[in-house]
Amino acid sequence: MSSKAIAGLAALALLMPGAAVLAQESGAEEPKAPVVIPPVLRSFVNAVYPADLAKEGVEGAVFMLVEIDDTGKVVKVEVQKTEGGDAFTQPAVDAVGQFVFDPALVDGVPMGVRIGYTYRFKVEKKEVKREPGQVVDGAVKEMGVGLPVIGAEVALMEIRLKTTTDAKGKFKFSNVPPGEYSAVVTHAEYKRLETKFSVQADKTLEADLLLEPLIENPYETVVRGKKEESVVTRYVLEQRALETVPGTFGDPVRVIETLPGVARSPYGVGMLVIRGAMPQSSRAFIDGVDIPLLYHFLAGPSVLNPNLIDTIEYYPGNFPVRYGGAIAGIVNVNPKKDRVDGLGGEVDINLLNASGYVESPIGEKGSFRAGVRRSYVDLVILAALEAAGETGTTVAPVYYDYQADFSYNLSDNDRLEIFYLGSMDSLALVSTAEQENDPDIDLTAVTQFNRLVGSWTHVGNGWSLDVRPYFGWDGVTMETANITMDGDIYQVVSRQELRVDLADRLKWLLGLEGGYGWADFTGNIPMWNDYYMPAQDVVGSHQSQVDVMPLLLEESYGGVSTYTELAWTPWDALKLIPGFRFDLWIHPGGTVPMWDPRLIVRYQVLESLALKGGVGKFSQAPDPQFTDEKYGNPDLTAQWAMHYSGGAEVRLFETVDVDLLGFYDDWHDLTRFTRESGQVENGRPLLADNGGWGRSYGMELMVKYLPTDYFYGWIAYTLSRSELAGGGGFGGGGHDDEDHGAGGSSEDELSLSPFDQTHILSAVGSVKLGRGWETGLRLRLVSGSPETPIVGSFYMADNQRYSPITGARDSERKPMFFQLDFRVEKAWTFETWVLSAYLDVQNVTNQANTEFITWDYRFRDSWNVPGIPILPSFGVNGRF
Amino acid sequence: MSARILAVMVLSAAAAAACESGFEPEYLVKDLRVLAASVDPPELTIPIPPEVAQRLRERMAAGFEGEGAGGDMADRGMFSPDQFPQFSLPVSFSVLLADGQESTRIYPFRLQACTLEGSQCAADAPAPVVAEGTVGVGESTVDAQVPSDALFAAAQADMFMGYYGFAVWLRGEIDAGEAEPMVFVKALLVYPDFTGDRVPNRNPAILDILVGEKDKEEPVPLNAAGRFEVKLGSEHRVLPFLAPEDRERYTVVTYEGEVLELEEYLTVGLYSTCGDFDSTRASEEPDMAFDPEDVEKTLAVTWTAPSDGPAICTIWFVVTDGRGGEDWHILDVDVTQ
Repeated sequence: MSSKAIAGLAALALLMPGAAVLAQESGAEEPKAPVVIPPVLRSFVNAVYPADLAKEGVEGAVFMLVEIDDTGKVVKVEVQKTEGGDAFTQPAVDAVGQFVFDPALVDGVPMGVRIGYTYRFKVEKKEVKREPGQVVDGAVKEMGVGLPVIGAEVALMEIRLKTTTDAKGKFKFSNVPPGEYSAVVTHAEYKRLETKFSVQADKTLEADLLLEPLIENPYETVVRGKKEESVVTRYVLEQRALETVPGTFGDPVRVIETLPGVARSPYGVGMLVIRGAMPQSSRAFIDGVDIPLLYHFLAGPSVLNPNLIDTIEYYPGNFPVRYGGAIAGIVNVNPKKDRVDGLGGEVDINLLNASGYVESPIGEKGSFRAGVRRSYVDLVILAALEAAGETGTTVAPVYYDYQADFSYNLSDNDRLEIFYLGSMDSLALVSTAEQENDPDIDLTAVTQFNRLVGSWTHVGNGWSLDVRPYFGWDGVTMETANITMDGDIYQVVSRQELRVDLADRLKWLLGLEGGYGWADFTGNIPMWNDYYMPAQDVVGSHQSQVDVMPLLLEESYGGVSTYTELAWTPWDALKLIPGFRFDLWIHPGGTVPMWDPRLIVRYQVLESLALKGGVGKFSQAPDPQFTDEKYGNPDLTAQWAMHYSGGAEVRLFETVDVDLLGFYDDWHDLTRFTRESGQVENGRPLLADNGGWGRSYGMELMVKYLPTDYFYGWIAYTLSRSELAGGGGFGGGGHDDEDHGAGGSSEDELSLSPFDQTHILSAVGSVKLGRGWETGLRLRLVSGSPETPIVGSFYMADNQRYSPITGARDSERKPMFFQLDFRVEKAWTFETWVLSAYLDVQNVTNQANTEFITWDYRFRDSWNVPGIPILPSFGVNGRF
Repeated sequence: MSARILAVMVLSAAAAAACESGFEPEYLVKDLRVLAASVDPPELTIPIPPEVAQRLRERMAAGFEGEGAGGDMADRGMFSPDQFPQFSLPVSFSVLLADGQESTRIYPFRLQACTLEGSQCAADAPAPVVAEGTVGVGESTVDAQVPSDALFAAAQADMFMGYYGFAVWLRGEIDAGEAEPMVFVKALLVYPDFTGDRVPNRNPAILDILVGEKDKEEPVPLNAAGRFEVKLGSEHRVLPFLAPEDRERYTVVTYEGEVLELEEYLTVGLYSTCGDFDSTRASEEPDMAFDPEDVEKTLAVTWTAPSDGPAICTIWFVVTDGRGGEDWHILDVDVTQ
């Protein structure tokens, strides 16, 4: 027997001081009184029929005086009388207390009133002849972005059926009699939805419902979990933080610049400088696949569309054995792996570039994602020049990138994926009309890379295997007045990883990677002469040490790597992770073996406090140009470093994570060009050796407020010192040594690394204001890089140039760098899509930070070359 | 490789920015400057006895090893003090001083022969004063003697101990009354002559300067005072002429022992007291070098006369041959209404 409560409005009385009473039934003559409109019930709430009374078929009624305020809200319920049993009283009071009215109006003005209301409980005595039940099948999604809403309650009021949406946002009612139903959908983070279902006989009703979020959140749900415990320090950034940090123009990878240990690079070029090491000492990966460039040229965005990015891992040191070929730090960008639930996409247009993205499920088991981006900053710069009435030529970056990802679940345990990524960067000379065809300016520089990655993952019972072959093609073209270079590098690599749960507390990782590559370069480039001219080795005097010569380089190389790691938890609080990696680099001149043992320890002292430490060896093969016979030295050995680090992770007040780490990195056998050092070997100048060394030490602090729906933020501070020894010429990027004469500086003498930045402070915060508004600030305060002062000059008559006389090496610093960035965004959420407009401004205060110091021809006058001025970017984004 | 292109990009951005620095152009002479220095002859040869030459060849064939400075050359089979010529080599040293102001001052001058470390003579090697006196604006010439101990020290300091030749640096100081003297350096190259037939380098010579109005065929004639006369603000093409034989051919020996024949690069630097050049300075790039046989490739530079005048502009042309050879020419131009 079903029961049904029926409530009715029995009488209405207005009790208002000084107001005439509206008696609609009595028809009494009304004197000249204000126009009164009674309150109208807008939102009715069913009372819970007392189960015992319903079973016995007892009916009842509760007479109440209900006080309604001028917003229509019920503020007081006073029971006058209950019929049928006291058990009806409270359910009626509870239900009426939740009623929402349109408030009463007196001459159009909302007014608080008190009314009489009777809530009646009636039992449906008549047996409802039910048709055979139908199925109501549906899904609940978020309005705008169409993401499934998990855990939403869907209720059919009339028959008091409720269910909850599953992990895919789906729900189902079985055996629903045909008829009209009021459906109510509720979820803590969304606005209540009331709708109607019309269930017909012999027909399944399919219902797709859209919920409007209480706070517009077009992003994936932020997962707040415990950090990965198999590393000493790995900073993981969630997607929302990746796309809205001010000053990054919505680029996730740029956010890395605000993390501890990352030094600032000039003009935001995007060199990966970690703990003051040279950029080539760190590596970047996408899903474990090596890439040559993480960012597009000259402060451009990263090479991967943000929609394809799941998380970004950044290791400032002590990285796990599955990464090699670097002696400083690692950045690994993880693309999304989850299955696409529905068709979605995004178009973003801003001042600098435009991008598009689309994703779609393919059948029940497949997913497809694709993105493309193209810059037009060169046109913007030209327009800005001409608008300002300037004439001249400058350089501007032109870039584009494209990606596509297809994945398919072959079975519950097998997943196949194919991923393609390509990127192109070039420099364009932007000239106003007056400067066009200027013969003095001639520059072309293009670099591009492509990766085609296949992946097969099998998950077994307590083990998993991942096989990942990939093919890469890198191209570079450079052309100046008389220097040209055109080259391609191809590589075929395969990486396999086996993970096994040996026991409850013992996990094992085994990896094997092998690759083969070949390089093909032609052109005319400066190369060292094959003969000696006296006075060349001193100060680059009259006759050039290099000459432009034809280049023809065809070279093959290869490498094999294997690594293994055990994660052992002897008891809950302690985790030990010993690992070992072996690499063998094979080049035309020889082989370079590398052995890297590593150990990580983590001890969970309390639930909110963990201690961690690591020690390990990290090796890196010399870059190919160092081992080339013409340019370098085929006998070079590996560069290597020892990393020592220790620290603590603390969670405060359940909302703040503090990560404090002390580190000491010791660099050895660094490769360097030695042509100008005066060393001779086998009757010719030694072009390169492993004579460099150095160190970096300091402290890194990260205080992160755990992201909420409203706010995210963190403060990152690094205090460090990085030093190099060996006379310069490291990787082609070390500081020049011209003040130290013919022999170069002492090899025992440490001096500051050109990327040493003693203090690096970054503070980021972003807050959602509601109604689709979000705003944030980013502040950066960084020590200036070291500077060797110039105290005079002397004239070299043979080449008619002045040469500087320098003071004590690195005895000064450039001025401190300060930059404040601002971002504001407004999002409009529609039924099936979200529109956003944003303004992202770098260097809001237009600080003239010094990037370089340039001198006049005889080193008497200097000029601090400023970095990027205030740089706003306005953009519009549509996402569905 | 991409890191290198990144570096190029950063430097390009910096260079583009530096163009806005407002520094005075290098060609403009506004105060006292050393524009050129030459040594005559620019190259000296030292005869090597045949038995020494043979031993050196064997030593090189066996793989010469060593570092730039120090070591007993006798042990290595290179020169020993008693085998080294015990004489001092006479040279004629000239320096070209320029001043944007009319100046008749003379300045104390000192010349040392030494091994260079930065801007200073190496403290642990002989650095004898080979000439002293005074110099004034314009060309000054002194005779100098380079003693054998300076030659020996320079050979020792060389990367190959002088086997392929070595440089003796002539370091000049001019006391202009400032806190620090003006310092300039000039390399005097010394070559061991193993075969007895080495032709030493010589200084090039600027034969003539042509000044022509831009886009016109005829050169500007000399006026009664014997100077070129041009109008205020006019543009002219200036063309230095050198003797064709000044672009000398010479030989070098590679590390493999192969003999290469090379040709000199001649480059011309231009300086003036007024007016503007369209190039900041002469380039050392080969295709910017003067080639008397290919006028199209010649360093044809446009000089724009000043707009304020009348004035007399002095223009200096300094030619270098890339091997220590140097010469110059001075031109006065009347700029009239």
